[in-house]
Amino acid sequence: MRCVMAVDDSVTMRQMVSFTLKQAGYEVVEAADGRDALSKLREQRVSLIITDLYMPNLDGIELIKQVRASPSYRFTPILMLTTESQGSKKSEGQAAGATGWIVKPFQPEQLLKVVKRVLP
Amino acid sequence: MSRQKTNHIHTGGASPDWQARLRETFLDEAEALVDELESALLAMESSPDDREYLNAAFRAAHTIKGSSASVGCVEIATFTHELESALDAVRSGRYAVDSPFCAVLLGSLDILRALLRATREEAPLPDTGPTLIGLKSLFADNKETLPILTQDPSDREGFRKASCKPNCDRLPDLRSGSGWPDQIDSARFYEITLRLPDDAFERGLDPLTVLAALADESISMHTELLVDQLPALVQLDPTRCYLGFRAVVATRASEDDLKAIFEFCPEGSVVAVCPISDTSVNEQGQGYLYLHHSVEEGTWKRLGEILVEDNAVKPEDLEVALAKQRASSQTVATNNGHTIRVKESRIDEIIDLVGELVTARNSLFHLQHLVETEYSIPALARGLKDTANSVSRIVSQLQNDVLSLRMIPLRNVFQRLPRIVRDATSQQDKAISLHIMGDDTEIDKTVADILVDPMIHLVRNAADHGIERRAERTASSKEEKGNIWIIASRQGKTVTIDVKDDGRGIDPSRIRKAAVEKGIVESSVAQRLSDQQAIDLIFAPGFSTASEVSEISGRGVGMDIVARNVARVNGTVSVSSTSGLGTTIRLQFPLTISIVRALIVHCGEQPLALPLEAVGETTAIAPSGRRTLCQQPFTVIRNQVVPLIRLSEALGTRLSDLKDTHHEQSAWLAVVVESGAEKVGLVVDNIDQPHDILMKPLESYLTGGGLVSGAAVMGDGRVALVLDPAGVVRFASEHFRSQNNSIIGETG
Repeated sequence: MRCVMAVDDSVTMRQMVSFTLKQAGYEVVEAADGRDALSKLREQRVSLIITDLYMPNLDGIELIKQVRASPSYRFTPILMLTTESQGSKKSEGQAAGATGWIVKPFQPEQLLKVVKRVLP
Repeated sequence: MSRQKTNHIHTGGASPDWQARLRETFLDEAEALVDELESALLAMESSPDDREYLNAAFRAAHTIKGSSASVGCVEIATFTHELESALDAVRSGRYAVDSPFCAVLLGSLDILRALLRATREEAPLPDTGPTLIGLKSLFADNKETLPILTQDPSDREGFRKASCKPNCDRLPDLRSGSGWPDQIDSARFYEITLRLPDDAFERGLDPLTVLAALADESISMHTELLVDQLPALVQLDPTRCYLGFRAVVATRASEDDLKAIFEFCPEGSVVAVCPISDTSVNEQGQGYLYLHHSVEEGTWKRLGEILVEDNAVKPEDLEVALAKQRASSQTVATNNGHTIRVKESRIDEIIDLVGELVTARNSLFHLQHLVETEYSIPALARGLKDTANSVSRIVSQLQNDVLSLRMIPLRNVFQRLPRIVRDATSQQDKAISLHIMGDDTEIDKTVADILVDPMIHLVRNAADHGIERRAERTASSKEEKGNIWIIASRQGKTVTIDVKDDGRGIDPSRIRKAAVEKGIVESSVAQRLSDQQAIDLIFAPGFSTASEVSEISGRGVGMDIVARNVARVNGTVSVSSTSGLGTTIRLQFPLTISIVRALIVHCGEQPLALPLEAVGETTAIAPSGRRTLCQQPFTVIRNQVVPLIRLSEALGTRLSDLKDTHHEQSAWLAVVVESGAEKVGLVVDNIDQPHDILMKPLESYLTGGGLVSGAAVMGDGRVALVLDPAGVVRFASEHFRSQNNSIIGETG
């Protein structure tokens, strides 16, 4: 059973991502910000992390850096949720070690397509 | 021109039930975020240099934009996009925070709230046109594009055309050989090569995953593993990516879909997507090579580093500043604690269940008592008692915990107040400082909801009528800036909120005059009132002494509404004021309105409960201690006259139900009830233990004219009436005074 973590300070976004993934047969763990995500990652294994960038307590870029620094998640795919279609945030994320991105707003099918690209 | 647009939430294929829940979630979240945005804007206005508020505001706007676009509320997304642009302009230094800026943004928030409300009610949306124009005219366009719910954008960045020659010249062989399915006529052929940089695994990429994704899009595929980068085994680092692949695929997917598979390949990857025309394999086809676009902005240095490099700041000073920044950013109170949204009704259900548990626990004690006394099984009684005590302990703890679920900090009640003060100051020529203290005091949510309006009224009054205009203040040797304090505190089970101002105070003579003019009291009565009683007239309905109808609050300033709401939560409101110096309004109310510690008494067979905090003492009054004046019995306790009320009379219990304990010759059992400074002796038939009871309020038509405030189920299953001490005292004094026209002084 593949488990995906969805990190976003917006409850609405978490529910959207969660529902879409669960419908497709994934297990989903939700986190409200970077700090919450890190503590949950210590308790359970996930195969993919989908994270927003602007969050309080610990933002997306910081989360990506810290996840990459941890031995158990060094090679785990990480997708960023971004509303910006410019390169800047995406490059910053990639420099921090993100695998890819999903542009908000997205259709559920689009989310699944991108997930399949990074999670076998 | 009116626009009749409504918002539909569409989530593509999801069930209607889930759509409805997502909509609820979005609306709840957006409404809370608008509140946060407002607080952040107000904070920004008073401390424009503090970036934390700016960032919090930006984040809130950004989140609303993202989630509204994601659930399909296009109007809200478009509108919020402009708000975000405005805040972004400040973040990047293109605009400074000033009052007009905040005013425009605060006004926009009102429109946003209206949009959210209209979406919730599925009503036509308000026209955002004028506000949008106002917002846009302040700023240059946001560089970022508007979020629209679209398909995957077809323009793949980073791919550029280059000529390439397919390496595969074996296509004819492949086609004739086995392995290709028969129906590949409408398919196109591509030769696809992928090599990822050797740190690919560190990004969560894996050529195998990409290959699998490619396979999904293909009808058929022949793959070749590229091992030329693979080192000898001894030098092999398993964390490095050495392998690549070359595949010839037959696919009906579009070129865009194919390119999309490689979208995440980073700088340093080699991706070639080469179409193979099946007529002439050896011809040079037009292929595409993917090269990662370079980072335009170059490396980002942090502000501190730049300053040190330029010798503008010494490294040690930088450290100190950074430490301060770190400390202050930790103390910024964001509303993002780890909370769960729970429906109020669910908590109420749990509270009801706990209430029943309390009743059941009381039954347990009752049973234990029966076993001890009537059935005389000491061993069983002991065991029961132990269990009852243990259960009792746990239930008490559960009670506290469960009721605390409904507790919310007063901060929520005070949410709108800063905005109200601000509006008042900007529309009238006043300067007002609002100080809030003790807003982390927690109260029951039901009580909180009822108090929101009264607090708004009180603060609006203080701002409109209390604090004088600047000139007036300086003329009376006051500081130009007026102050309003909101001080909340808790003592035991009572919460006190004071709304205090250093304004012009309440002039009793003005009140007297206005009350007479409005026909609230007669002139002769008005003259006889003490100053405090005159001030208390402001609680009379329809009262207003504003000499002009301000656009903020014109008609009756609503003190009667305040009093009524406070009474609903079993609280009291009182005013004290000194003309010229200021006014203090004090609200006091119990922490919760559910569980009450009460003294149980009986009147005939009817159990009654008296809130313990209102009980002064219980006493037996011998005939010698009783006096009568005009058929009204009373007694004197420590030099105070205490009227004696027979509850059976007050409540109308039929005489045949009474035991004859109120005989003139026998002692009367009385409970002295206190409310304010008044005392009343309630004559009852017996007095039982104090109990914790779960009080359920009764509708007004059942309250026996204000004597009874609720009902509770007792341990033995009977229903006890919970008496309202204030009501009882009121009844007594009306009853008492009606028997006496003159005031009684000393009694002998």
